[in-house]
Amino acid sequence: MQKTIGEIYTSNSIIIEQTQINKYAEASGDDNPIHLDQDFAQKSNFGGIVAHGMLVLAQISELLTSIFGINWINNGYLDVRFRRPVFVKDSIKSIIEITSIESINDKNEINCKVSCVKNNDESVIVGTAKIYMIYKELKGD
Amino acid sequence: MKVIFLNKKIQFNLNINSDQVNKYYKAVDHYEKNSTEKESLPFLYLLSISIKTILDRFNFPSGTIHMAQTLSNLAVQDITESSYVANAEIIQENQRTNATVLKVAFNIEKKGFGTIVKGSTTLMIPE
Repeated sequence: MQKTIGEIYTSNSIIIEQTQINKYAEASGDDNPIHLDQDFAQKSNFGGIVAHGMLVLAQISELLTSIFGINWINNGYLDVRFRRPVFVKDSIKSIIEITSIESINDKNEINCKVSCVKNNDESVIVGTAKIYMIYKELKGD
Repeated sequence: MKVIFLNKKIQFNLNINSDQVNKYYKAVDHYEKNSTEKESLPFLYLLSISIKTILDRFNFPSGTIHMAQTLSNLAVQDITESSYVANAEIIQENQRTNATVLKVAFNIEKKGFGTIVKGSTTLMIPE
């Protein structure tokens, strides 16, 4: 598929549920009580259970995978900041915008602005991504 | 300035189990994947279990906050029962009024293959 500067891709919104956080905790081994224990989390600075940052980041990576396929998985770079916590029942979606495409040696470097936002447009993750694609793949020849 | 962690290094093994990877996919999947993507090891999974090990090995408290992340994927890997070696080093330590901010550089290698993932994790430990 041809990629052009200025293209914006948006994921479906998902609502973060405690069941998903529990599944992620089991898979990753991250059983920090801030993600799992309501009493502990309420007494913390967050005031409630928060989703793992890496669980939220996975939504951005999943969207990059859907756009760039194996090129993202095989040769991608990500630089992000976790700006706000995501709480149970928060609705989030990820947004990818292609900001530049540069030819470097035998590859094209696609630079993107990446973010994950709540349904009130508050950013929870912001950053950039780079994907390296060979010219043929970029043009879809 | 109180310096507690700077320049500390650890090395650890990551043993990949396909059942665990499938659990990870079920926890984070939102999109249909093609066959190549389904068969590849998700690098964010490698990163997730690495961060967990880093937190445990450095004895960071449960209130530690993940502030920022960089990550380079250098080579896709299949989901097979395999072992990786990770190296992590604390390369920055900054004291703030009520917290310590640490930057941890890491790389993950496959034996006989080289580095497959590298990057840095920024953590804040509230006091």
